[in-house]
Amino acid sequence: MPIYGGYKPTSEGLIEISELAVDRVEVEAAQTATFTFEVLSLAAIDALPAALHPPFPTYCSLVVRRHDDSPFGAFTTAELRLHARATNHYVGYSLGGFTDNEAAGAWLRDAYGAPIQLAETVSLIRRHYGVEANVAKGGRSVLEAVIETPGFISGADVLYVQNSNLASLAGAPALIAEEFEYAIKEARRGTARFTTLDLPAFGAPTLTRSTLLPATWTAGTWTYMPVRFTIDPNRPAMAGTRKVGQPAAA
Amino acid sequence: MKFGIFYEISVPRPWGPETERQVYANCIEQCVLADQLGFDHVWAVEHHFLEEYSHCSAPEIFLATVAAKTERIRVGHGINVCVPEINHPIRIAERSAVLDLVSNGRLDVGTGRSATWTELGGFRANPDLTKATWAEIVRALPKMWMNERYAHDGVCFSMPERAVLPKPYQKPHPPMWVAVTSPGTEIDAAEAGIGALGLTFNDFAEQERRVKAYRKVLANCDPVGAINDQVATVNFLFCHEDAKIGQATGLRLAGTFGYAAAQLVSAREVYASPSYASFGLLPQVRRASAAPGDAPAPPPGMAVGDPKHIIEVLRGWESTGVDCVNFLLNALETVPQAEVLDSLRLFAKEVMPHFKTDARAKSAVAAE
Repeated sequence: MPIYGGYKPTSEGLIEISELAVDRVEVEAAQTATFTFEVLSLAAIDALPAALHPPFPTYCSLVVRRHDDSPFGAFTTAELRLHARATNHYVGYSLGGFTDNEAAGAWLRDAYGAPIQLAETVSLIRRHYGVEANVAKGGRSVLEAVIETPGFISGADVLYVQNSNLASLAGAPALIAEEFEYAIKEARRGTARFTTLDLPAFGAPTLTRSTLLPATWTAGTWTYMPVRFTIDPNRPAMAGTRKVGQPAAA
Repeated sequence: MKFGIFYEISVPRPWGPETERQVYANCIEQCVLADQLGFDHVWAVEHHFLEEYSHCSAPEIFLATVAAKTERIRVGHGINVCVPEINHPIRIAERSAVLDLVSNGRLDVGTGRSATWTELGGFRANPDLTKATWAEIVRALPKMWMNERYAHDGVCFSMPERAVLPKPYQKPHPPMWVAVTSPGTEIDAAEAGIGALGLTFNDFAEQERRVKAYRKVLANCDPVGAINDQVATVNFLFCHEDAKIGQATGLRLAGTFGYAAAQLVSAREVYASPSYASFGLLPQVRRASAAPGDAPAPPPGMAVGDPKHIIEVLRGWESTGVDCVNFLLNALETVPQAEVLDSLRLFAKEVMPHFKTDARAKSAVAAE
């Protein structure tokens, strides 16, 4: 059977979840830039919780999402995810991220366990030459990336994978399924270029970036969904998945 | 209705010094038995870098071995990846011709383009271009086989006039197929006048719709060479006298296959392109599964269970108009080899006689 991740977390140092998300939160104006790149496999396997399988090649996506309006006001997030499988389900295991809106960050942490911290600048801006994503934290840049001359593609060509966030739930570590629905109105694809990508700042001190893939930008609606299930990070997902409100599988 | 067996050659971890050799030996033993039992085809995929899921990177060598150990079963290279970074088209033509010669004209040539980033990225191939390279190569291959000499000045490859040698034993050339996973590829197959080698588990209605669309377009096709008008589909096979055991083992086989398939990085997953609209085999195995802890849902029309049930299922596939059903017999060795062989024997004894082809009927008479 496929190999499992090598990380066996405890609840120490994890975000404490008070109450999992129970409501849908729909955001009309959402822009999302996704930068995808392969990472060397051995460190990636070690970084994944033991519940998850690494796909091969191991790869990350850096997702920058801008909301011009939301119940928390305008906010932008930048999150780094190491992709994995929970049994046969695609998940993006969240390593770290930033937002420019503390209220939105607190909601994402409290309701979904997203490892999001506040930064001075988190931005996603369309220019005539492409789409720029920037993050500055502690007075220095940790992300400067561009999707160069993105051309039109179909929204149906773009796939978004749900997040899997490691947090502490009722005193025990848990992978929280942060699911979303989306409707894409415009989609583009272009060449990705990083001027700065500080992987340790995004919670990935051991990962090494290798092949860079084309990046995408989309505009549309984005809906954050209620949490339906959690996974014990130290057991295979087949056995350790618990539907919210029900006991863990035998 | 014809029956084939289909190999990904999946190898479970842990990989000891004997693991891959033993899996290959098991597959070859199954092929030899399938030949004796009257199966029509053995197909072997071409995949690269797909850990556990498929260690079948040189199917022409596997198939040459099978051909040497068998008498009548056809050997299908399913498929040759028609992407120049992976296979130069001249080499596809040459290898196919040799395999056709050494098998005494038993080769079927599958074509396709790979569906995973693992493979395409590994060879630095551009996923946007694979439909185009496939279309160019599939039109060049028959000319390399049929013409004494051939020259090509194309988009994905060029060559000055040369004799591509040897020539295949079957004239004008072996039957050609294309792997069909993405919706619409069956139309590509029909337009080219080649067989549609289905690799997804559609339901009966969807399969019937696809077969009808294929036959309609085929009637006015611009063939790349000799027309092959066959449609094949893929299925799992586990046949047991006890229906419950047959179903439970078959579901384990299908679930294991789906689990392994989910670990691949499909082109669709990481490379947004109109060229890849499908995940391949995966969605059919997990479509009704809502959370990681849920058991995978079995695809409809699976040929697992007792002979009576399998006959009913295959009657359903026959009614859709498919000509061949190719069976996956194992995944990650989850079914012990002895049980795989027993399943094949029981299928041949109890199920096959209900679907006699002319060739199989002659074999049966000869055997009597």
